[in-house]
Amino acid sequence: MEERTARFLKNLFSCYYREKRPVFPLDLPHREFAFMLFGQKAVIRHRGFSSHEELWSFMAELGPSDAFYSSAHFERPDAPDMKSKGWLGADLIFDIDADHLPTSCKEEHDLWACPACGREGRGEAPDKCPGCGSKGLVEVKWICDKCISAAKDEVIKLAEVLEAELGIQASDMVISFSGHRGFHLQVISEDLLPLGQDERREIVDYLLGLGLEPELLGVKAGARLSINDVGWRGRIARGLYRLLLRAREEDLRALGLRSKAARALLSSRDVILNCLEQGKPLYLPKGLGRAQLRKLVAACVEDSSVKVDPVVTGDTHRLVRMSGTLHGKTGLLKVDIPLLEVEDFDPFGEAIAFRKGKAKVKVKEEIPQVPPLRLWDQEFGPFEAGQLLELPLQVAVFLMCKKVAELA
Amino acid sequence: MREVQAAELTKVDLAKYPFLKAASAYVANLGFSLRDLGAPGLSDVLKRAVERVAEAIRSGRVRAEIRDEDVDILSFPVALALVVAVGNEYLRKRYALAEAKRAEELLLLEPPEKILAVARDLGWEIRPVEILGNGVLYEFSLSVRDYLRTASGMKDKKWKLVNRLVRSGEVLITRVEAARLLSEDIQRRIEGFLDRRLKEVPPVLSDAVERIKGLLAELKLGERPSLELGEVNFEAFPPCMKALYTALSEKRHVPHAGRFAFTAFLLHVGMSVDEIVDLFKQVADFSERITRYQVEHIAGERGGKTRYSPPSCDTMRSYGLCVGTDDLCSRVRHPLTYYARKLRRLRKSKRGGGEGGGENG
Repeated sequence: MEERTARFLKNLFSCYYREKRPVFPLDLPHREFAFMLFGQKAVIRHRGFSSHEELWSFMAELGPSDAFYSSAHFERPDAPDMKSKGWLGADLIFDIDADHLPTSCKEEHDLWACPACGREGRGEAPDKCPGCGSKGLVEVKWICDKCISAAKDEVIKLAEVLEAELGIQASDMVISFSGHRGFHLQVISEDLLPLGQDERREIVDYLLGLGLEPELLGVKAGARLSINDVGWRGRIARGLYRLLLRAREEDLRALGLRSKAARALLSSRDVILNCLEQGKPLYLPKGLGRAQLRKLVAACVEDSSVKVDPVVTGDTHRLVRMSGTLHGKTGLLKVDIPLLEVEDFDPFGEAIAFRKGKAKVKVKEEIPQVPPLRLWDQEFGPFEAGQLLELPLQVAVFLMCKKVAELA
Repeated sequence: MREVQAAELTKVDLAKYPFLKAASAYVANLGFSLRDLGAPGLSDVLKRAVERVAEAIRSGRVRAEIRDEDVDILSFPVALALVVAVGNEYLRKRYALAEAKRAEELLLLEPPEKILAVARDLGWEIRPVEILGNGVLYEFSLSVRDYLRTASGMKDKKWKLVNRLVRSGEVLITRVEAARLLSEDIQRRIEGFLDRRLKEVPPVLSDAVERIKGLLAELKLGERPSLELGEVNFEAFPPCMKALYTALSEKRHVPHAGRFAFTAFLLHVGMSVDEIVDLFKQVADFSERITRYQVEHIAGERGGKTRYSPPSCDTMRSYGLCVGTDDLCSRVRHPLTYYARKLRRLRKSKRGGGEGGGENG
């Protein structure tokens, strides 16, 4: 990022915070705060604030590209290292990132280019240029409605599982759009603050279905498995039901089943579906042995697991982006959204900070192409390398934050 | 259906479970203090306290049979004071475990009402149920929070939350499982009681303390050999670490957690910061300055001065770094344990003139 672009963004963000206050985290005096700045790699860490006003005016002065607070509560949040901070507990947090979900749109809007030889490609960038072997590839990672929609489905599923299975009240959950490619879910509960890393990891494994043993859950021939069961049994039963309902032999073969097992399964499809509907002892045909059943169940687990980022939830010393602050990679806001409104939430209409004004930017020469971007009902782009543009401020900020354009 | 309710805790119960809050309240009510031990009527208490600790040292289990309720109740806090006074870390663990085993043995004989009363005294959120599932009778429903607190440290896969029947924030458990989980919690609770230091040993205990020290020395307990890893041997690396090494050397992308795990592993098997920085230089074009900084950080030479351990197998799995297991993997919980054992095997097979490294990494 050029110096003048960085200065422009810093001033703009500063102005924003002079007018709008961020959402202050609960128990503010026991949180550590951290900030990043445009055009600088260093992170400002170990800051503590005693009041909302103090934090707010600090941010208005600093104009940070990103603002975070610790999920942990500390006795001395401003102590310079973890040992002397005095850990008191940490919020339970979940992160769902569209980048980690298998969406087809990445092939459409993610681009890379090799400045050395000029080769370009779509989708995730390889580690080195297939043409000349250079490793300095330029990458453009974009977001679109499809990515956001996949992440939304996942966060809704997460909230459902947390409530129905883990007993976390919907009123104790705060869901937010991260300002970039994903959603966060934070649980506000005194009860769960003391959870250690092992316990948090067990929750992660539960959500991801890691280490799941079908037999320990009683998923085997003769078991009364029903689509109305609660928990993993029910999710496996429903997954099996959906799978069998529309599966063809080649679909089952693709899951790694032998053709004999696949055929046996399909020929008793109706009996099995009936067992699952009524919760009658599960009939499984002879050709379907233990190993084959495991493969089938593994596919159901993959289908109904909740794809949270394990590292974020397992970490009891995580930094969390503050709600109501701007994201340095997009210039969009992190916004809290009520659970019932997640489905209809439109980040490209509701996470907007800069509604007025225009700015001139120039697309960087080494960028192959800037994929299109929708804002409200208007589509901007695609733009070509070197193009000089006058755009609505929010769009211009987005391009500069995404590092595909500089201030013109 | 029979309605199960928590039973009252009687004096016999307090003798069986002297670590309960109700038992401490009983002791406090008697006005008992360590200084009274010299009194003629209380010699049995000190005697039983010494026995408790001696039984823990000798057989790893405190006798469950109760001969005199008051003696059993009062001797427990005295035994705690003795263990603290001896000040041996190994004894603290062994004693807490021996008392926890005793409690588990007794709990297994109790009706659900008593188990409920003990669990509630320990602060558990638990209620009685009668649910038949998987051909198993579940008699209790325990809050996820309390379940995780005790079960997250257990190795067997049946304790993993993902393999349990979970609904509305509760986990179904059987009576036997309740006794096992309670025992785990009791062990930690007693370890908590023992986690303090005495300024001075009360004179009335000093003879007893010396006797216990003598017993420990006799059995040479409390001295464990440290793990000798010797020179680094790539052949003995567990599959996950070999995979990370391969990924790095093929210049594939390795996530931060993977680089961290690999570096911490190398430091623990005896490589120096310089050697690791050199290794990274060969396998990937990292900036030497940044690599060195990070490796030193993990080695505890910078920042918080914490020397990081490589993650356990569970953590590696959670982070998606476990690449599938070989037969040795299924017997260890930590990549370092794998390495130490594999190393031993390799040495043995070399000495025996065998082929060595038979297993596939």
